[in-house]
Amino acid sequence: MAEEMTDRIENQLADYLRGELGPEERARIDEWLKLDPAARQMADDFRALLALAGQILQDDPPEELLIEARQAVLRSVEQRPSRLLRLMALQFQGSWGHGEICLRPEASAETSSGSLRRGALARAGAIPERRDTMGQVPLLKLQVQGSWGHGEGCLPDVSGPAAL
Amino acid sequence: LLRSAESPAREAVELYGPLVVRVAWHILRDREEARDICQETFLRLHSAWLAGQEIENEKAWLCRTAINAALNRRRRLIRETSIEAAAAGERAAIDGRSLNEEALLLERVRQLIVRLPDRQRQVFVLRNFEGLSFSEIGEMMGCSAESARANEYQALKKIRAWMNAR
Repeated sequence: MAEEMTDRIENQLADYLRGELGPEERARIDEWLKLDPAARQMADDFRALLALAGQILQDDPPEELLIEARQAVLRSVEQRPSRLLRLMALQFQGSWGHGEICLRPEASAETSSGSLRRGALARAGAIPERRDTMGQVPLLKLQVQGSWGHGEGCLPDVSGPAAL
Repeated sequence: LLRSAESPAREAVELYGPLVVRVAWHILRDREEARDICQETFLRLHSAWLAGQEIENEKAWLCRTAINAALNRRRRLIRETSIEAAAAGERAAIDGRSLNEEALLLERVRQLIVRLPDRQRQVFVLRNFEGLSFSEIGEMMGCSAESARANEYQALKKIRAWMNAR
């Protein structure tokens, strides 16, 4: 318990030196520094280090650098040959719910409800042994999982990129 | 249906470009190198998207990638120049400033940060170079503010020990 308290006080030393502590916590550290010369030495060294780091913080990059970097990034992205993904949009429905997925030939997927949304990336895994048919149409069962939730559904069994 | 990955890349650059540039600049303090790191970081994000990789917190991912890339570049630069003081002098001369002890100390701090363990390094950079709060850092790194604070304390202790051992 006492060790935990010491750790907590030590961890707050930098905040103390930055003047970011409340009165109660500040008083506790004042007391610690008063009683412990090694802690005082450490506080002095930390103060010097934080002052140095503070200079780095205030050293803003040249404004032109932001513009140059932005242009360089966008140019590189535009020049990439694989910048377009061919996707097949499918709607699916099951007892667990419904949604829309966009399959890529590699059977990874992106999904969203309604529209494509970055940040809602999902993966779809085909389960080859669990095939079914709907009339003459072979179906492929898929499990889909993503940040939005997960589910399972059937899709017409497309045979690969050519069918997409 | 065709979906371009350019558009989200553009969005990410607009949103987080300044932060990535700042991180790279503060670590490297070299315009060309910082621009390269920024480019490299966003191209990695773009590649990750193309590979279907799920990135939950883009800001945190970009920060981590930029910090690590910039520190790796710095490590390589230090090796190449071999004498850190010479590099500091050259940079100071470029900036038209006189080389003084403070500039050397700043270079020394930047140099020592490279040696810190990964998490301590990230917390130290985000807190002291980017001015983020421990709550923000904790959120970005998937840990508590308290844990981020403890990492900064450990980082300060290590840098202090290395500076004193000189």
